Amino acid sequence: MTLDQFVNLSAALTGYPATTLMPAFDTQRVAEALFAELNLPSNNIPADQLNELTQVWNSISATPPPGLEAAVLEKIIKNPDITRLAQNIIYLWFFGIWYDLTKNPNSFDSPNIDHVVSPTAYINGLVWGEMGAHPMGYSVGEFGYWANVPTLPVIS
Amino acid sequence: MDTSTKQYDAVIVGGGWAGSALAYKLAEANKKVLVLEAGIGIDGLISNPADNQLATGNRAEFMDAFFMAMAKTPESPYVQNYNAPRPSVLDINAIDNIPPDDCSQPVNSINKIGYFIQKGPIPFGSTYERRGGGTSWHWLGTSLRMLPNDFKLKTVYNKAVDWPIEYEDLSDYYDQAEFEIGVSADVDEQQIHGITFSEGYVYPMAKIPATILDNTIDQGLAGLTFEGSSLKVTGTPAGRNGVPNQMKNGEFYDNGRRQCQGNTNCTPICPIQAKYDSTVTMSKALMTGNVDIIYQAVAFNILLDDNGKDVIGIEYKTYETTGGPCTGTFTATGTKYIIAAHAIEAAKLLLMSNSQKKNGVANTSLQVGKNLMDHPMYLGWGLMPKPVYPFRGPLSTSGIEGTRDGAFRSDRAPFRIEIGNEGWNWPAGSPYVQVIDMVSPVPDDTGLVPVPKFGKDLRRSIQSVFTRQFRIGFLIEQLPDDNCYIVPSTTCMDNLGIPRPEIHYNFDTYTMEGFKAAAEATDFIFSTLNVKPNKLPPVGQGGAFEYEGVTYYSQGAGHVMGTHRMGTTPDDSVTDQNMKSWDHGNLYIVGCGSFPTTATSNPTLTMMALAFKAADAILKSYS
Amino acid sequence: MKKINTIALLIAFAAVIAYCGIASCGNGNNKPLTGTDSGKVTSPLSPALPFDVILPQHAVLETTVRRSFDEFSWDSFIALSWPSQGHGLPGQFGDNPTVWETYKKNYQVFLDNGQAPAPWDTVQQTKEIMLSQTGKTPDNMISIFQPFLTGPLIDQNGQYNRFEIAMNKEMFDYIDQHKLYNIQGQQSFTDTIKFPEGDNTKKTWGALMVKASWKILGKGDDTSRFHKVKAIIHVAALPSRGIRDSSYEAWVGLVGLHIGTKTQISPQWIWSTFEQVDNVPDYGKAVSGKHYNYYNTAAGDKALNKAPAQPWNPGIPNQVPCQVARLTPIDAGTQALNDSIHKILVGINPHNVWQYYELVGTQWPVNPTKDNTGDPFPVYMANATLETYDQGSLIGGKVIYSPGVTSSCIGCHNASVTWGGEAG
Repeated sequence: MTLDQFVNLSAALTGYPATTLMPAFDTQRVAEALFAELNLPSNNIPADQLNELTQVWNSISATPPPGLEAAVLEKIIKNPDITRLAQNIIYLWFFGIWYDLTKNPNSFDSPNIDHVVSPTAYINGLVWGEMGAHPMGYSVGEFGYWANVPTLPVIS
Repeated sequence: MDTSTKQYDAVIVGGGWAGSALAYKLAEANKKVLVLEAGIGIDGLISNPADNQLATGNRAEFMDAFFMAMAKTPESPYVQNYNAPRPSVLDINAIDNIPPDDCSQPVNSINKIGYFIQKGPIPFGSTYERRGGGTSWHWLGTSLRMLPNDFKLKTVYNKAVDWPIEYEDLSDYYDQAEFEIGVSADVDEQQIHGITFSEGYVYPMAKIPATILDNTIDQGLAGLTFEGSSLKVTGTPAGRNGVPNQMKNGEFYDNGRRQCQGNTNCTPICPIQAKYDSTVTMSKALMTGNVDIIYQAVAFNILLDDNGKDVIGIEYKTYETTGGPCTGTFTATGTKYIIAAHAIEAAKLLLMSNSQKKNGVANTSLQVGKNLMDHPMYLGWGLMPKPVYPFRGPLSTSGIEGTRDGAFRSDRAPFRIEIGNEGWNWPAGSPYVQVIDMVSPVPDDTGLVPVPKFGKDLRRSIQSVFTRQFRIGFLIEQLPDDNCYIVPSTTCMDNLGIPRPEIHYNFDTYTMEGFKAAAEATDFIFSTLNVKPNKLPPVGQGGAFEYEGVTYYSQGAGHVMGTHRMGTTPDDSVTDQNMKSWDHGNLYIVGCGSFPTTATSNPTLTMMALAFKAADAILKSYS
Repeated sequence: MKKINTIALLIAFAAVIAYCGIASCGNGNNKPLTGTDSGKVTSPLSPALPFDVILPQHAVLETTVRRSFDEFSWDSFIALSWPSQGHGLPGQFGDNPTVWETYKKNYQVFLDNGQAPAPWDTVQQTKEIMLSQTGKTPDNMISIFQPFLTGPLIDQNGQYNRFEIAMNKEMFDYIDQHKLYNIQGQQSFTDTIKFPEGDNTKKTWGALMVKASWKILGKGDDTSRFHKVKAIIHVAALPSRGIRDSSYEAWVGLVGLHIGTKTQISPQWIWSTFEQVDNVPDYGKAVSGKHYNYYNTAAGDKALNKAPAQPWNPGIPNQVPCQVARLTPIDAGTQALNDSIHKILVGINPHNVWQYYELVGTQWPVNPTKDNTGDPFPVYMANATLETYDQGSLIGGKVIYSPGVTSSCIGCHNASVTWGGEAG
């Protein structure tokens, strides 16, 4: 999978535009850092899963938007071979965490290789802004901002 | 550092909250002070240049450890130190779930079962830190004064014991503590349950603005009561920087630190030091030039003179790396000795020092290590009908204080209700657990697996559901109890060969009735606010117990108290009201361990007030 | 009344007035430095401060956009370092008193008693710098602490660095007009603070502030490599060590200069930071035996970038020098620009002191409307003499940056508020 394919697949999986995930002027370079997780041997990603996910994505990526979501659901999410790997990509973007593929992410079974990708990946996790908040431990808000109602990001 | 030739006016064991406060007050009064800190030094907080060659810690490193931690516990920024180990919430287990371990390998044992040797029946649920700055690194910031009745439980409610002092004895010291910390609050709001303030008192900074959640609860519970207690929502005085006030003397308060930016991370660490931590005070102590601090110095034995009367030295072990061997044994000497090592470590040190007195130092009363108390906490969490936007602002900005006092205290424990701004993070691992439930669902009760969510559908769910999360937490009073105690383990040692704490702990009916009332209060509040409660067990299940057929899950509040309590007579207390040992005229034992009872307020502010009171007494005692 | 703690009053940056009212200041040659390829400068230096950055046609963040901001930084530095009176170009006679030294210092704006400051008067202010240059009324240097009391910086001779802040007329006027020079004024100001912004279209300058770091010149220092002024050095009392409050005169050399400029394109300000070239080695790249201002090649790296032992008082003898290295090397493109400008400066005079100053980096908001910080780039930036202890951490020999903690000009200044709680 190439970086561009990863970003476009991630856009479909996360519901965020690719230009948000990897902006033209990219100060945080999160896409590159998360993409690197797909190539980390210590993550034990079965090659055939990654290949299948890549191929399936490439086969549907050109589908125009209304149909793309349905295609992702049918071909990826409901595909037992690759759904877990696809879900891990969602977690990469929403949390900045890579979860051990051999278990449910909510399970504490150990040993496991669950890990935070990096502080930058953590502070750019999408789940926080989704709620109108910020990652715990990292706020760019001004004093007293919490008294005001936030604007949630637009879901286009 | 060779301190053997230097004459110290005071030797302080502990470079954390109480130790820093005492070092500062004594040093300001021109006393020469030596501080022994078991854990690592903090950058910028050393008195010996050679200490910069050791692995000192700093906020940036702690933040890195925090960012990279999978479980963002209070300990997550602070890497374990096997030579000055500290407990971790991840090790809190029901007693019969603790993995078997023979303690033969200290490092492995601490990793496997935790630092504590928990004997139960209920595991002790709170933790602390051992390094420069101590537990202040991860306190929440709540700076509440105790109520007048809290000091007189026996007289007013015929429960437990009275303190040897009253609220009025501590009032000036509360002022001093609030000034040193830099507390933000509105004095008009804080005059509850008989609390009074000195004439014209102004808090250093204005009340921290309330969150949307605070206002929602406040409006929804307006005018309502629970078992006769008002459910009014009040701002919580906090040791975090807000907008400065003009003080009584005309000056504007200014401690030079940044204002709160709502990082929602007070526990485990404030990234910008808007929240006070005791390195602020230790720094001022060091700036006087009257303080030497030795890090990586673990006190293990208090030496008494031949008559067993006065303390003549404190033996300590040093180490170079946190997993490496002991590098030497030394003795620190001074005119006065102060143990400010946190309730469990202080008691442990006194009990370990038993070569001359078989029950340990300062323990004629046999109370050292006993009366171990926490604020066991009951958590309630659910979904508000409308968004309240959690995960914003400090972890807590308001609470319900009406429930802290009343006639019911004759029958059941009181509590204060803390409103949490961090959604379901603490009780239920939010946002992670809930997102995972949606994205990687497991079979439901019928065995069907829901369709995994992704993309815009996932986003919509987060936006509509997570924005309504909130939690409340009940800090429940615990009474002093002979069955709750810590002793030095005879079989399990840390990496320096120093005994680990063996803890025996339980709740009595008073407290369990408090849990029952907390659950009822939760039901009442939730139904009034039209909240959809979440009734699943919390993530932290180690503190589970049954009462009248109901399972409750107690969480530790991080408040460790009672183990060297003060009192009016040597028969049943360890120190007098100035925290001077009844047994040894030049020994003081200062900290939350000094509390005879716990009340319901977070103990830190009171502890600092007591430290200032002790400092005054110690200074007087030199002449 | 209590001295206002200027650290707590962090409210902005100074604007430099390119005071071309002074004769022969160069007749408004406003052409900024341009560079179309690596290192070629095509215009002469100018005393005219740039209004705002000029963004490149073909914008690539790490290269061409960075280059535009770096040029803005150098344009600013040169204009600010222009001779404040008399003839000539910067360094034409070796050293010269600078325009920014005629600005009001923080302590001249935020007076101890909260009084209104004296009006802006560059003639008077220039007179003072002249006097200071000849030692008549030397600059008053008190501050020894880096922000938030992280620590002082001690050089190889055991001397403490001194720090000072100055602001331009635009910034001063805004503070003066809105009475923000004392606490009551700040608390009564309920509007949003909006310092003037430099604007290329309107051809107006914005608020500009400089923060300077000075080293007391002494043994081992080649004084020809520093911009120098005579200063009054203060030592605070420390009774426990028998140290009395005292002052003495000494020559100090400039070792660090922050410039913060508010502009229309960069409402979160443009942050330029310069250092004297001998300050510190890059981490792991120290040249054995070479002289550095704040690094001893014989001392090893265990105490690297750590604050010195307490108590912190310049009067204590025999203090251990700080051991400082730069954890993030200067970007190659920035270094190429530095080299090309140094060539011009040497061309003016081989002994030009300004050739010994380098741009460490420029930080700017890439996306001003994204959030409060405007998405700064580079994400982290530190001056080795001004944010010595916040450059990042070394964990296992690797440089680690901690978001929200490691030095970022915008990250920190973005949170600065007035005493009334208003963001600046």
